[in-house]
Amino acid sequence: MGNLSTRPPLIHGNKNLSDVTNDVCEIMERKPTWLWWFGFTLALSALVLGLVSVSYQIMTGVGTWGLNKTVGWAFDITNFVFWVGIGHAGTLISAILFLFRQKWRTSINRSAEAMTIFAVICAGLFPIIHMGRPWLAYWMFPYPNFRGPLWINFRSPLAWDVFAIGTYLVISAVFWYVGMVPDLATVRDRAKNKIKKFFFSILSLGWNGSYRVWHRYETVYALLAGLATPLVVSVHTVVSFDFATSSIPGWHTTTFPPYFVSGAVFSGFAMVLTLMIIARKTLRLEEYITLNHIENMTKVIIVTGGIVTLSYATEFFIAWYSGNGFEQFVFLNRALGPFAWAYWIMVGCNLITPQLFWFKSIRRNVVIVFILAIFVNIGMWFERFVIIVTSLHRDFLPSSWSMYSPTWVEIGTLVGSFGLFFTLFLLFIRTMPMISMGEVKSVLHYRGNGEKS
Amino acid sequence: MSGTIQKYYTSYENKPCGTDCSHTDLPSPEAVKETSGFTRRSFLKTTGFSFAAFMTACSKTPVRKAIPFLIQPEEILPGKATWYASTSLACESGCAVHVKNRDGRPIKLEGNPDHPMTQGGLCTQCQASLIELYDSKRIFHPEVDGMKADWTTVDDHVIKKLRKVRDDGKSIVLLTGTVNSPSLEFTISKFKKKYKTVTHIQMDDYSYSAILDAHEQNYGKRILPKYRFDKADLVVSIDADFLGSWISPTQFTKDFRQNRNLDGKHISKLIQVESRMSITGAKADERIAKSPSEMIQFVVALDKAIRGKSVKDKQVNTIAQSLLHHKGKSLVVSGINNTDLQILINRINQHLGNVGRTLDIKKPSRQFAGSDTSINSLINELESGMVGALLISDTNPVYALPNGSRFAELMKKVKLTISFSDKRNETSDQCGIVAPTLHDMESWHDAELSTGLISMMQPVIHPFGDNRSLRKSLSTWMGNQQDERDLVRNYWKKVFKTRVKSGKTFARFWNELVHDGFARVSTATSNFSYKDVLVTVSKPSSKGMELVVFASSQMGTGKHAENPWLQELPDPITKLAWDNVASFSPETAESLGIKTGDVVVIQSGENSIEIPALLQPGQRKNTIAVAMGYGRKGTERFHEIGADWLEKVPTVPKGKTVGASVMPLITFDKNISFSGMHVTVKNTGKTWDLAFTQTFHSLENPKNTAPAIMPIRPFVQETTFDEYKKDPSAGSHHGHPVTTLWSDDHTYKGHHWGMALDLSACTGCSSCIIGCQVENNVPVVGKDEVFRKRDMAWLRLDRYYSGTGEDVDVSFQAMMCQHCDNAPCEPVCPVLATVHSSEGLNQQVYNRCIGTRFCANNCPYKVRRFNWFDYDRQDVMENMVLNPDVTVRSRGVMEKCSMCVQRIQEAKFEAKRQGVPLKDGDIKMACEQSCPADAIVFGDLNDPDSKISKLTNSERHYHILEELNVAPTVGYLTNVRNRDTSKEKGPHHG
Repeated sequence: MGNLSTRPPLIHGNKNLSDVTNDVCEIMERKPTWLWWFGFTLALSALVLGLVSVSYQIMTGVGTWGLNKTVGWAFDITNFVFWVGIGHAGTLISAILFLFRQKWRTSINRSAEAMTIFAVICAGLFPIIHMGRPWLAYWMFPYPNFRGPLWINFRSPLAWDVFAIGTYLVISAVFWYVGMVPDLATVRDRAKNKIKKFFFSILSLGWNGSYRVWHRYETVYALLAGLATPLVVSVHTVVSFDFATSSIPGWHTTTFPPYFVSGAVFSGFAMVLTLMIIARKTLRLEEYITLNHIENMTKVIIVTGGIVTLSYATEFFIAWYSGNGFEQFVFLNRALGPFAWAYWIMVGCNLITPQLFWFKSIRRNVVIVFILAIFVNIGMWFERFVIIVTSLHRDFLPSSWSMYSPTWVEIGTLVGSFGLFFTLFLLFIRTMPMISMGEVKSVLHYRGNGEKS
Repeated sequence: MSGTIQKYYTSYENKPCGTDCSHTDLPSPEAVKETSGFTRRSFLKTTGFSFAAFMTACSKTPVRKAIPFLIQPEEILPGKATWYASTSLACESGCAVHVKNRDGRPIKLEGNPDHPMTQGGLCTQCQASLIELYDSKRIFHPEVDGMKADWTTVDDHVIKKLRKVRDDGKSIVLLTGTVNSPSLEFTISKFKKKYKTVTHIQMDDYSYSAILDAHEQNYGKRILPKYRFDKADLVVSIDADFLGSWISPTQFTKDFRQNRNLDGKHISKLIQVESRMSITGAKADERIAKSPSEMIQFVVALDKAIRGKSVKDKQVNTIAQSLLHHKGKSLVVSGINNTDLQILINRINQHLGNVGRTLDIKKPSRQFAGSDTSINSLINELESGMVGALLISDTNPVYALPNGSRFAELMKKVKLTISFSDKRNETSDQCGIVAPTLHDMESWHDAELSTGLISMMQPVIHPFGDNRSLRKSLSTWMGNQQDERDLVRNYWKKVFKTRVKSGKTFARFWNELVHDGFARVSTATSNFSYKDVLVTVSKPSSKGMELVVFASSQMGTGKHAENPWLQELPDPITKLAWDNVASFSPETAESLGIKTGDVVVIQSGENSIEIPALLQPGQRKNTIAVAMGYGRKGTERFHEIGADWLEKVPTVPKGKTVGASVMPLITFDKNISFSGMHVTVKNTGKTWDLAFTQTFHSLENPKNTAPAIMPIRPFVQETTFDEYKKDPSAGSHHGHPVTTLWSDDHTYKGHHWGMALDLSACTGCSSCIIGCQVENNVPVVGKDEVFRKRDMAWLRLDRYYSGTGEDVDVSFQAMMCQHCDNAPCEPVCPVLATVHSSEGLNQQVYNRCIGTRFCANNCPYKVRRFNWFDYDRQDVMENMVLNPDVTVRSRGVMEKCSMCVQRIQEAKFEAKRQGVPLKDGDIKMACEQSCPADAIVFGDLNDPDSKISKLTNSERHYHILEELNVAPTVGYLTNVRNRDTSKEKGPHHG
C-alpha cells in the first residue's frame, strides 16, 4: 500500500465533524461582512447596467449593437459561448471527478455546480436577447400550435442548442439540488428562525439522516452523476455545431467539438479558481480549499490548455494542408489582419501564460494563480470573439468585408451578464451551504487511496 | 384599349364631382396637407387617445363620409395594376416609361420596350423620380413674395406687370431648360407675339453648348447630332461619359450593347480618354488617363494624325491608324465643353466619313439646346438693367452658374421674377412669384427628344397640389383658358395635317400617341454641307492641379438632390452614398499628404470649397474630380432621416446640405468650362466620415495576408475577345467536380427559376438597384446606417479594381440572393423562416422570422439584409409609393432578394386564367426590366428553349463559389474585353 502517511490531508486544520458544520453554516448565519456588501453592490450595479442596456436594445432594435450586414454576431454569441463554457467545469468537477473517485473535489464541487447553473442562466439569456424579435423566442420550442402546426427546424444547430442548453440547465439544477439535500437538513436543524426552519424543512425533503436515506441518496447521486457526465461533452459539442455545420471558413471545421469542449473545461476551471480564491480568502475557508485544490485545478488547466493549443495549431495546419485558399486567408487574417490584436490577446492568455503552471512554485502561489486564471478567462472570451468576428468580417466576397466595433449597449450587456452571475453567486453563498458538508466530512481524515485513517 | 385610356383621363379632367374629390380614392390637396403634417408621434398620440376614448366611452364613433365609387371606373380593379405609357424627363435626356398604377397611385416606372430610343431601358434618375411625386415638401400652391396665393391673384398680378414691362419697352426674358416640346414651343412663340419683348433663352445646368455651337460653325445649324453607337465599330471618347451621364446614357447604353454581342464575328471597341474614372472608362477596352490639358493636346494631335500629318505621340498615331482603318464605322466624341475643340472633333468625324453613318445630323437629337452665348448675353442684359421680367423654368441658374450668387443679385434688380419650380431651390428663393409646375406623373406634355419622334407624357394621378404646367401658365397669361390636355391636344390637332402623314384620323393618331407613349412624325429635312473652320486651340498649361467637374450618373446636375433613393444609391465607381468627394489619384494624394476622408480646401482664384477627399485608382495624376449636383438647398431635410437612437449621427448636420457644391469653381469664359480649371489644394486637417457601401476594393487579398495558393479570388472571370474567339470558354474556369451528400429528393418538376448576369454587358449604371428598391419597398436608412454598413439594398453592385497606378481595370458584378439549390441559409434557421420553394426559389417568411441572423452569417455571398431598426419614412406621404404586393418589413426581420416572387405569381396566375402555358420572357424581374444593357436574364431553367437555359449552357457561364456546392441558380457570364491579349494588364482575374 505504500507510505500512506506521506499524502497530505485534503482538509487542513485537524477539523472534526462539528467544526465542519460550524465553519460552513456560519457563513450563512453571521451578518454579511462589508466585503460581501461591497461585492454585492458592485455586482448589482453591473446587473442594473445590463438591464438598462438590454431593455433599451429590446425597445429600440438590435441596431443599437455594432453589428452590420457582414458581421451578424459578435458580443452576443461570444458571451453566450463564453458563459456556456464556464459552466462546464462545474459539471466536470461534480460528475466526472465524482465517478473517478477524486475525493479532493468535495470542497469545491458545490460552488462549482452553483457556478455552472448561474453561468448557464447567463448564457441562456444571450440567444434570446440577440434575436431581432425576442418576444417570439418561444417559437424556438417545438410545442403543439395552431400554425399548421408549424414545427421548428430540427436541422438547425440553433434548435439543437435549445435542447442542449435546456437539458444542461435542468440536469445541473437537479444534480445540484439533490446533492445539497443532506446539507439543507443540517441548516434546517441549526435554524433558530422559524421561517428559515420552515423554508429549509421543505427544501430538505424530510431528510432524517438514517442509513436508508443515505443509501438511497448516494445511489441517486451516482445515477445523476452518470447522467450529467455526457453533458460535459455534449453541450459544448452542440454549441460548437453552431459554427462547425456552417459554410463560413474559420467556422466550417470538424475539430470544433473536442476543441470547444476542452476550451470550455479550460475556461471553466479558470473561473472556478477565480471564484474559489476569492471565497477562501474572504470567507476564511483556506483550510477547506487548500493549496492542493488550487494546484490540482491548475493541472487541469495545463492539460486542457494544451488541447486548446493543439487545436489552434491544427486549424492552421489544416488550412495549409487543405489547399483551400479561403480557409488559408481566414487564418492568416486572424493572425495578421485588422483583428490581430484580439488574436494575440487570445494566444497570449491561452497559450503562453498558462505555461507558467508547469512550475510548482507558481501553482502554489495564490496571487499569481489568480492573475493567470483571470488571464485565461480573458483569453477564452477573446477566443470566441476571434472565432466569430474574424471569420465573419472577411469571408468569401471582398466586396462585403467590413469591420466591427461594439457600442456601449453591447459593453453594458456584457458587464450586465457578469453582474447577474456575481449577484446570483453572492446570494448563493449567503443562503445556501457553499461547501458540501456531508461530503467534506467523509474525507476529513482522508489519506489517499480511498482509505480513512 | 386606347379608348379606355381616353376615357380614364377624361374622367380626371371632367370630374363629375367638381372640386370635391372626397369620393375618389385619390388624395385631394387637403388630404395631402394633412398627411404631411402627420408625424409618427402624432399618429401614436391619436391612436392612443382614440383607443382610450373608445375604451371609456364604448359608444359608436360617428361615421365620417365614406362613400364608395359611385361609378366604378371600368379599368380600376382593386389589387390589379393598370399600366400607362408615358415619358419621364427626370434625367433631362428623357426615358420612355410604362407607369404601373395600383388603386390610383403610380407605384413603379418601367422602361417602354417599344420606344426606339431608350428601348426599354430606364435610368436611375427617371426610375427614382417617382418618389418626388409623393414629396410633401413640394410647393402645392402659387406663392407671391413667399405667401400662399391663389391663381387668380397671381394671374392678375402677372398680366398687369407683364403688360407694364412690355409697354416700358423692357425685355421679358423666359429662361428655361431645353424646350423640345413642340406644343410648348408653340405656346412660347405665341407668348412672344403677345408680349413682343420676350426673349426665350435655354440653359442646361450641364451645358452641351460647345457641341451645338461647333455644329453651327461647321454645318450652319445649331444642332446636337444623334450619335449612333450601335453602328460604330470603334469609339474614341474623350471625356464623354456616354454610358453614365453624357447626353443620353440610357439610349447610348442600349445602342452600344447592340454592337457588343458576342455571337458575331466582331464586337466594337471603346477607347476612353479621361482624367477621372467614369463608368464608361470602366467599360472601356482601352482607357487612357489624361489630364484635361493633355486631352486637348490629344485631340489636336489626333486631328493632325487623321489628316496624315506626322505626330510625335505614338499612342495618337496608333489610334489614328485604327480610326482610319474603320472609316465610316468609327465615332469620335468629346464631352469637353469647348467650341474650338468640338470643331476639331467635327473635323475628325467628317474626315473619317462618320457623318451620316455613325452620327446623324439630318435628324439630330433635340435633347439639349442650351446656349452659353445667350446666357452670357442675358447676364449682360441683367447688368444693364434692361430686363423687366424674368421667368425661370426647369433650370437653376443661381446654383448651376459659376457666378450664381452674382446672378442672384442681378435678379433682385428685376421687377418681376417668376419661378415655375415645384421645389424650392436656390433660384426660386430669389423669385417674387412662384407658379409651381407639375410632376411628370401629373402632366400632359410632349417631347421631341429626337427629330421626328414625339414622346408623350400623360398624367397618371390627379395633381396633388394646385399646380399647373408652364404651358398652362403662359397660356393663361395670354388669356387662353384651355385645360392642360387640350393645350397639348389642340396643338397636335392643328399641326396634324402637316406633320403626320399616315392616313389616320386625328382621333386615332392621338389615341395611339397616348397609348403607345410615342409616335413618329414627319419633319422637314434639310441638307447640311460641311464647312471647314480653321481654329487654333490654345494650348493650356498643364502645370499644377487641374479640376474636373462632372455630373454623376445618379445625381446628375442636382435636380434630384432631394430624392432619398438617389442620395442613398452608391456611386457606381466610388461606392459612396450621401456625399460627393474630391477624387485624387493615389500618388498625387500621397505627395500632398491627403488620405481618404481628409477635408481639403480647393481654391481657384477667390472661390474655394471645402470637401472631403477620396483616393481614386485610375485617376490621372495632378487632377481632382468633383461631382456636381451636391450642396443643394433643400437637402437639409435629411437631417432627420434614418433610425433614431442614442448613437445616431444625423445624415447631415442641422442646416447643412448633402455634400458640397463645386459650382463656384467652374469657369465661364466663352463656354461654361467644367474641366481644366487650375486650382490649389490644401489639407485642412479635419476629417469627414464617408459612407461607403463597399470598403475593400480588390479581389486580391490584402498584402500581409496573401497566401500563395489563391492570390486572386476567381469571382470576376474575364478574357479578351481574341481569346474568346479561339475558345468561348476562355476565362471561365470551373473548379473540381463536387460530390454531394444530399439525396436527389429536391427535383424541380415544374419551373426552376434562374438568372444569368452578363458581366460583358453590364456597365455599372446601377439602374437595377433603384428598380429593385422601388419594386420591393426597400427602405432608405440614412447616411449613418450606410456608414455602419447596414444599407438595405437587396441587389448590390460589387466593384473591384485590378491593375496599378493609372492603368486600372474596373469590374462590376451585380450581387443578389443566388437562390442556391443547396442554400446554406435554409438549414440553419431554427424556425423555418427561410425555406425552398418547389420552383427553386429561396423564400424568406417575414412573419416567421425571429431574427437570429444565422442565415445571414452563413450566406457565402452576404446578400441578406437585416432590419436593425424600424426604418420609418421621414416623409409619411412617401408611403404612397409602396408596392402593395410586397410586405413592408418590420424591425428584427431578415430580408433579401425574393426573385420578385410577386411578379412570378402574377404572371403564373395570369397564364392560368388564360389557360396558356407561361412563355419565356413573360416574367421580367424589376432589375432585368430597367437594365439598359440587357445584362440580366431571368427565366425557367427547366425550359430547354428559354434564353436562360441557353445562357446557362453557354461556355461563358460560371457560378461564383461553385466549389462550395451550394448550387446557385444565379450565374454569371465572363467579361470579354476587346483588347490585345498582349496588353492584358494587371493581375489576371482567376
